[in-house]
Amino acid sequence: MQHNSCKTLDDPSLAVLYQRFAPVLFAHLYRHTSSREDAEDLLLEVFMAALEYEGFAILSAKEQENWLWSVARNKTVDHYRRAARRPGLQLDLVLDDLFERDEYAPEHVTLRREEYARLRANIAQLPEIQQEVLRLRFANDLHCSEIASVLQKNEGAIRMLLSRTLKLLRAVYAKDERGKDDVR
Amino acid sequence: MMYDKEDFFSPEWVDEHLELSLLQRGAGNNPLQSHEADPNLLLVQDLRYFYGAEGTENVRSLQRVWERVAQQRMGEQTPGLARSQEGGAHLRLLKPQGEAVPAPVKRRRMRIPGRGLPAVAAILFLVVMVSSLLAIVHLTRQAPTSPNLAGSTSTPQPGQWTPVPGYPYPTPGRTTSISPASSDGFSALSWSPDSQQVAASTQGKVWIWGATSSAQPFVFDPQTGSGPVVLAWSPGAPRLAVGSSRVQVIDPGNGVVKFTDPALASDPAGDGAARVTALAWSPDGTRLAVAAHDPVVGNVVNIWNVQIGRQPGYIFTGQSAGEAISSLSWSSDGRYVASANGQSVQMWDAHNGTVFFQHALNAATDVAWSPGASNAGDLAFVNDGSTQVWNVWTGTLVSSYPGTPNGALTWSPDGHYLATASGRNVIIYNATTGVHLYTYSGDANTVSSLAWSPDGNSLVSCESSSAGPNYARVWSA
Repeated sequence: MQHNSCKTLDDPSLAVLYQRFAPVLFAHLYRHTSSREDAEDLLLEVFMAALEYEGFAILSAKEQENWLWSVARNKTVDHYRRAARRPGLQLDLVLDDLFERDEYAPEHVTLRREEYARLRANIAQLPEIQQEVLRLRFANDLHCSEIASVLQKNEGAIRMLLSRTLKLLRAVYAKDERGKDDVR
Repeated sequence: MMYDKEDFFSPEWVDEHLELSLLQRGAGNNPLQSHEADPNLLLVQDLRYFYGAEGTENVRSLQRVWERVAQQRMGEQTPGLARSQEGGAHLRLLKPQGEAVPAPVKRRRMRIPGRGLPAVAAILFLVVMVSSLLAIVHLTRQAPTSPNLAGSTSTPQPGQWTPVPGYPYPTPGRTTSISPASSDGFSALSWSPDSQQVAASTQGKVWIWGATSSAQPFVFDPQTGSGPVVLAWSPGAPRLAVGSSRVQVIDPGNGVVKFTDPALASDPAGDGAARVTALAWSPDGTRLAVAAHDPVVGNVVNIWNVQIGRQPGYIFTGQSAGEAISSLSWSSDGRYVASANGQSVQMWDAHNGTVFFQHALNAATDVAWSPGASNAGDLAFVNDGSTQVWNVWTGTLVSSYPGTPNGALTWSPDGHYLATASGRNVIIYNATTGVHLYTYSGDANTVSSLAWSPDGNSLVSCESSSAGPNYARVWSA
């Protein structure tokens, strides 16, 4: 009994493991499933599998990471198979134009409404991969190495892509800056 | 900090500079003024706002899964142990079980189960179900627009409660303990995380007593004069933050002061003239939001990292004038703080003070973020005599409960129910359907504050009247 408990995760280890890997695994699962609810279910299954795997605790940190990714990818494949047998239609309720009435808008949006509208328009025109990188960085709080894992790309390529995207979007504000300089 | 603006987003440093930009924006009191000229920081601020709602949803998802992992692990280790896992159990019940409610207010994604005949059958079934539910809601709903809510419902007495479908508590309104009388009105309430004790404050004093017994309460005197005192019980540790002319974090068991705040957190001008007006712990118990009113500086909200202890983590405020902040609330993901005074309610980014939502008010009110997993971004406060719930990300009014002007309100821990006050009455609504569920009329004076226990089973309400003795009463939800 004691032998087994050494091989399975204790509570602090589980918490650390979850804190470290759940965000990036969730981003991967959400990207490949048809709903947030499904991604949550699959993430639960991944961590329950880790809990049930008796030898998990004696794996090295890198092996644990690889094991979690492997399970997550297998879960994704299983999900695709199930989805193929049970086709679903995805209805995204997009948050439409936020804050149509200025009195409720945040001050920085009200004061720079045009800039913000231009930013939104520019994001919408970005290639899908650049939008994906932005979303993973700002909505999922992932770093470039984690984004690279989710998108299965090289970290350097992600750094380059994020850098290029941010510089491109910065032009929305830089243009105004130049305008002010010109006026002066 | 000096850096090359053109190279700010260079591939080598893009991660680090994005992190730095979040910290740097907290350095100024007004993010608008201090960053107007820097396109890099403006872009980061707007992108954080642009993806803010989705970010909150993602954090909520991770919290939900973690609760389920913890619950299943606890179930494996201790079969049959369910009651102690109140939080996890609530989060598990995202899809109401047996509750006659229509679909949640908002749901981001839906799946149509199939195509062709099965889909048509499913849709017909849904139509019938929704019609039935609407009929039930129509029959059970009591108009929340009635100005005299106390009169619109029969006065409940213990044992006379007719259970409402879906309301999980069997006998609401049974008083389980009561504080000693106080000639001063009670101003603040806070529950211990285990729901066994209640803290309440009057002028210059803090009272702590058992939620199910009326034994003599423990009284703590912060020895800072007779002014109003505010409270916040840490969610994860035996710490009670007491705010007067300074913040003291005490052991609620014996009143020993564990530490006092760094001067800047509660007295930004450093002249001893400031007063702490509201306190709130972050959900993880590591940070304390401190609202202070200073005659020179005005109103300030500080986020104090209690683990580090020395300096407040960030200082930010846009409110240099006006009434003191009367209430603070953290979002359950720990990313945002809402503040309210008599003139406005605002939602701040806890990292840097960026205001993401604001709304004008005409009276002081509590502000409370929904703790529920299914209504992320819902913020409740009282305005124009109505308790209103706003979605901060869309800027839309989700629901309104007129005739509840007191300014005291509290959510149930699962976010399904909202309690608010009208005169001497406390009214509980189903926050999803707007259905009026119950009115508690056990208080004799105007209800000044409310708090729902962390385990969901009890509420405490307190009175504030110059006319007579005031009490704080603990009663079953």
